[in-house]
Amino acid sequence: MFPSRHFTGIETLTTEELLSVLKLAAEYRAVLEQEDKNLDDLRTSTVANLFFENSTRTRFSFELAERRLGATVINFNNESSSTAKGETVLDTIKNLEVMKIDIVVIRHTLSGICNLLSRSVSASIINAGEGTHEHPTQALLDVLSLQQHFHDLNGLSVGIIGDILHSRVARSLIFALNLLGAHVHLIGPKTLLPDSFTRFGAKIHYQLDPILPELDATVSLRIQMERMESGYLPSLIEFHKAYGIDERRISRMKSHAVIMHPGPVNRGVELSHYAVDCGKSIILDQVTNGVAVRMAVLKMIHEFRKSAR
Amino acid sequence: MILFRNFDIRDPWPGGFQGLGDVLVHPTGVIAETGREIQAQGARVIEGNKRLLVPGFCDTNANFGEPGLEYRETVITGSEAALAGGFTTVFIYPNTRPVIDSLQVFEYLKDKIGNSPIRIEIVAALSKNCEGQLISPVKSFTDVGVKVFSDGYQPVQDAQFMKRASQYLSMYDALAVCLPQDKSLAANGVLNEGFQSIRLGLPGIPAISESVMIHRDAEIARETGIRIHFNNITTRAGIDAFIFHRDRGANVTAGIAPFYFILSDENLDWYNPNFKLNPPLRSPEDVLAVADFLKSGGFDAICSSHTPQSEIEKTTDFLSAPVGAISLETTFPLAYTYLVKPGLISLTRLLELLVVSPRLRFGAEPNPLKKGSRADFVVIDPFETHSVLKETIRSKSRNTPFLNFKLASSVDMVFTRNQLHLLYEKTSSDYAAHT
Repeated sequence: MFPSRHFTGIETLTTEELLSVLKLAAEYRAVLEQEDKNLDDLRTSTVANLFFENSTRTRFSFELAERRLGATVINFNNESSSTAKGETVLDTIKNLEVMKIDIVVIRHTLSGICNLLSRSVSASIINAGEGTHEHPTQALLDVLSLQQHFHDLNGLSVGIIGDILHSRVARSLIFALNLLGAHVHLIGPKTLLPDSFTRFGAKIHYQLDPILPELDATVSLRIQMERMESGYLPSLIEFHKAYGIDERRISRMKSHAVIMHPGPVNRGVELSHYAVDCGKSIILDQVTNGVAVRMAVLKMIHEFRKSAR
Repeated sequence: MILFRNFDIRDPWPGGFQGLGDVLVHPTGVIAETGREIQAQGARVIEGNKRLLVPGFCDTNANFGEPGLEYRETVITGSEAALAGGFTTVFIYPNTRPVIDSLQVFEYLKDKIGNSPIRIEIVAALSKNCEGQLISPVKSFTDVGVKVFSDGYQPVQDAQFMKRASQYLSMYDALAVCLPQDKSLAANGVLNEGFQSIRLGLPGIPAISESVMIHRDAEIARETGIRIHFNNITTRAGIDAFIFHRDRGANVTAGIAPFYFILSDENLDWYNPNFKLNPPLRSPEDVLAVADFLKSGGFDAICSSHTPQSEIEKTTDFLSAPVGAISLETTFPLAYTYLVKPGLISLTRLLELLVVSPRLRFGAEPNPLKKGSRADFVVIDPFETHSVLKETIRSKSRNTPFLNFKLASSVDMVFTRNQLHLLYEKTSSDYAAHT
């Protein structure tokens, strides 16, 4: 069980806590293969999905997880509120709380929004991606996917490729991989990969090709178009040449290596069409696992609330 | 007459009295005598019990909220905070609403500060609306006694403008105060660029945004002859730049607020906005560099960089929160606890940094503890300890990263502008331990 009523990041978890949520997620993953996929674990819970930032897959994934567990679900999608500041979001949540919402799933552009909310409200906060800080359920589904493929992550070499600086996926995944004993390699241009990342115990590479044959898994991160405008990168073509996974590079990867991506993929940029659809790609497994890990997180938060009552 | 008897007098002004003694204050607020065992028939006697008696401090960098931001700090609440911290002269900065860039706003504020128990000096804007494009009316301001100009926390970005403004200011022997920060490098940063900015996923402000600006301004100082004072040099790179130019004849000085020799970005409490400062809390290596520079006598002043922000404004996420912290009340106790107590600098040196060099550089009236000068001094109990508590803060705002810190010393009373302010009164039994 989580030690807290909130789930805001991987950084504060212990290895035991991470393994226990992954174990529960694996159980739910098996349920998802059954004909009857619906449970009633969260029948007494009401969950609000607050998405202040554009998202389709994460939002559907959370909503499915909530419905599969039998929760009452309300949705709030408002990209036009994406600039809402902390105090405005705080007011929104306080209003939801008095309407007896138990769990709030939030995605927002502000790093630290979950920390602010978790300090100020009694509803449980689940981080569905905040700013450039953490995206913990994405990391859970990534490591669950790796577990399914490799069983044990201890000693595994995982390469995270692309815009590390602005990636909440990368941060959460680094924390999770560290807890499970994997070797983390960060690969990207110097403008998007500051030295400070070495303090997380990660190795830094500005070139992909020399390290590629040593990796058991690659996780390519989505490149945002605004990085070109801000002078971090010359062009998408240039990025693809240096860091894109294509047929030529796949031929140099280990035979058992897998290709991952948190989606949505810019085809021809992070991954070529071939790479997305080839046998090494486990991108679609990641998506299914997303529902399972979110079910596990919801269940554990629900259990904590029950025991704290 | 008031006789302050049996104090440990430390006067850092040249030739100043040192050691156990008394100060006799005439009813006009002038010192009648400073010496040993003064006899004064009929005088009100204040017993020192060997507490420190030192000249009032001078703060070279504080922000109040008048006009326009009175909900953060008024002249009165700011003055009370200053008194509680032992400051009897405070230079306040022009980043108000409207900005202090015209005589009209200046006169309005001048009226207000007349009622203050302390001496408040107004720093006028260097440029219209502190936007770094049009030079403010320097002659008009110097005619009414302004000696210091600054755009405060909106430092001039355009080098050409800075050069011309400096040429103009130098004609009037005015002091320009700069927060050294290149905004194109600082960009949208909200904390020090480094491991913590990476960890928290927040945009960082790199150390070179400071050093690049010190190089630019110091070059302009050498070129134009302007006198420049830097508020807060917080990085090793910045200190190196400062030393480089100072040693080559640039007329530059620098002050530092206690945040930067005590706290690093490692002390950030997750996303607690009370730790959001400008300049930001730097790396532990930078904090060591600042402490070393203090130790070697490099800084010219210790300032408060008092920046009140209302609790409502600070109750938000780190990115959206306004920058700054209150600090008039804690500057001396922090410096005493973290610099003097561990032996980094002597008490005499700390007094030079709080009393003498700021007044000389900024053109404030000297306040030696000698016969004939205006009585302007602070009584401090160096043996006392106190905690920084929200409930006892005198500033109108409560934003400080030092909440619940336990600090050595207490500012017990202040005498200034012919008024005695009792701030931390205690019974005589409190002294049993150290008399």
